[in-house]
Amino acid sequence: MTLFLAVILCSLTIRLMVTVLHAESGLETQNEQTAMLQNIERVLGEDCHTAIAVEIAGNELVLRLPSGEVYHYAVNDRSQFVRYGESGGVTVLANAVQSVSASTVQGVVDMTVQMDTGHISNFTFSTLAGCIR
Amino acid sequence: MKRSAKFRTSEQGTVIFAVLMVCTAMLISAATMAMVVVILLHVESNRGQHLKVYNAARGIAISDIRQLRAGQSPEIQPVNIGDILVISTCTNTNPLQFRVTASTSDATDTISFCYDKISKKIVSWLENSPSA
Repeated sequence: MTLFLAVILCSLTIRLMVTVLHAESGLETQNEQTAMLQNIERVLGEDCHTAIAVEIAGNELVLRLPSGEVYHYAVNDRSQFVRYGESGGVTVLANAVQSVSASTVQGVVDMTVQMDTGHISNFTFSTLAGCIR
Repeated sequence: MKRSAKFRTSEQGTVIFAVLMVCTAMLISAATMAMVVVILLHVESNRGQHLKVYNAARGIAISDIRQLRAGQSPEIQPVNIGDILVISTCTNTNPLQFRVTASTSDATDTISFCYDKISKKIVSWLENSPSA
């Protein structure tokens, strides 16, 4: 009886450890991806909520803030999603981005981000320009 | 004795010990999970509260700007939206300096912006700014 219980406990523990170790690496990539998507949501959200003019020029989303600063959002040739200001300063918002598509209708920015993993996220923000038109 | 012929006394103790161990482990893991859920609920409720006050402040600020653009002077009065209290302040200078603070018991958000009366434009807009 003791031996039987011991064998069951041991095999369960080993199985659990193997599963946890296996899942850990996948979880790490997933965490990283979630952090990057939250980063996009936070930065783009704050800029959109403050933008008094928004347009899509070429492959870029352009937001003009009341302070006079203009921010461009684009994917660069190293598949990074970046935001750069016209007075300087580049921020990498996310790595391993496959494609980004954006559209604006009446001041509402709708953006779809597809990661290299195949994960697709959708963000919708209302800009100040859309609210006070 | 008949009983000791069927079970060895040493085995009986081991079995109950093993069962108790498993029960204790399950209890501890269940308690941990319950604790995590409670913490997450608290975090989510805080997030929701902040979203509520932010949108209340933004809504009032935007309606102020709409009134300004229509040529009216916005009402500077405390507004109650459900359990949210929104307080606006405004200076009489040009550009007009507005400060809209929305608060519940748990969260506060302040939006401050400047509006130029002559060019009829927003000159600055700051969210999550420090409250006065």
